[in-house]
Amino acid sequence: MNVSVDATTCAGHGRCYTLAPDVFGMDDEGRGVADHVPVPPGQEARAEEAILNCPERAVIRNG
Amino acid sequence: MVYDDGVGTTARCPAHVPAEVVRDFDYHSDPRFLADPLAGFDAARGTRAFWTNSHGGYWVLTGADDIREAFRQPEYFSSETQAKAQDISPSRTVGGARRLIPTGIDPPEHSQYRRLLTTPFSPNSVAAMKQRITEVCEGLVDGIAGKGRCDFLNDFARPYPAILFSEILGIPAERFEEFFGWEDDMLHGSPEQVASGTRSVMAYLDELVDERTARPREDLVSFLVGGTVSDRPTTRDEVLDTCMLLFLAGLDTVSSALMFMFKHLAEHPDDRRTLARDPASIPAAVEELLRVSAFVNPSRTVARDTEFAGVTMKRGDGVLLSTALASRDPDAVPDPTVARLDRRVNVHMAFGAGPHRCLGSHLARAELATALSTWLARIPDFRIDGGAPVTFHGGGVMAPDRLDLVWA
Repeated sequence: MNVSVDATTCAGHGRCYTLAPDVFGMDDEGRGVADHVPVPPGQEARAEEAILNCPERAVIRNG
Repeated sequence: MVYDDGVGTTARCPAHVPAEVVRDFDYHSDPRFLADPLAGFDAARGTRAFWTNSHGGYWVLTGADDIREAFRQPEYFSSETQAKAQDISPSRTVGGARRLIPTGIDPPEHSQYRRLLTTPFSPNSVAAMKQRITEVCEGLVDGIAGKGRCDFLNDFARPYPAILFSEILGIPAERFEEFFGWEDDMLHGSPEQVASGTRSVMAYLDELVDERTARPREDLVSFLVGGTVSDRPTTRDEVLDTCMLLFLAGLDTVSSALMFMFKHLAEHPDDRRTLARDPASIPAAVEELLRVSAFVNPSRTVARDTEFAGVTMKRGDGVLLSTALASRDPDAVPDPTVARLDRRVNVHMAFGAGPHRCLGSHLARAELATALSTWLARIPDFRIDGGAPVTFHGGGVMAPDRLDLVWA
């Protein structure tokens, strides 16, 4: 599973790295970054939650 | 066309607004709305957008997708033309003629100011404050617990964020009481008190800026004084404008969130027990309680004529982007009016969306989660005292007016 965060639409809500801290991290301004791709084994459900909970729909599944 | 706007005066509808999109709606002062503001917003759904003639007239967007898009298109929905936005929030003359940095500024200039504040309010900075947040919260709750009752607003919901905010800003503890008096006048007083409170707060901040310019410390005022915007040092006015915005954004909001959350918990013993038993479920519960009682109602001004949400909007029109309408949309959330604390998918806009997304959201979440865990550990059972129904105020930041809690 591959995910990314669209830096142009991410507004730094922080939902992704709160819900899936083993997949997403943050940059200096608190925006989400997909730090661990492909998604580590066992983290798929959390990554999915991050996608579904992003208020900006900036977390994207790439395959 | 001339309409009665419900407050005894008549208002003329702009020529580009057809009669069929005009509704009778007033989230500031209509008693039917104020009986239950969240239900009042729910009742306003039905069309994607409507116009109301109350308070000078403005558009109301009702759907989550449209509200999100408007938040994300500052080139069409500007935060800068405050004059019109003030019409939607007539009670909000706090801050006088000062511009609010960064909420009253559009991109691209906005991002320069926003960047200045990003570090002090980042998740990492908030994590470093966690211990102090807990100490302040525990101190207040310990002072209340043995009494068996409290005026939740004045005993907890107001002082808790105010103490933390004052410490972050750098106000010395011995000035707190005086400062909270001015702040209370500024945020909750009569028009004269708002004006005098604002003057006192500004005069004190002015003095504080001088002190911190001469002798910087580890506080936010020092940080702003030493900060840069667009590769040049901040000006005194920019520092003062930013401080004023932080007041308006950071105090009433956390208090209001606490009022809604503790009203819910007082009325839902099962939710209290669940959270007391499993504190790990508190962060998700905070998100859900923020969603179901999203209480902030920002507005924007149309910057360019546009067709949006099925209506024609003209430059200068006011537009209400209610986070309650955005977060309780039945097309976006199943059972949107029900607080389900373990909701797995919870896409809310309680903190807004787009470039002006609430910068203090990480701090707010930490304060709210700490309030819930601390209370439920020390005062697991509480209820609302007496039989009188809770009353609400509406407007830009809605909340229950007061909450008297009792426990054994």
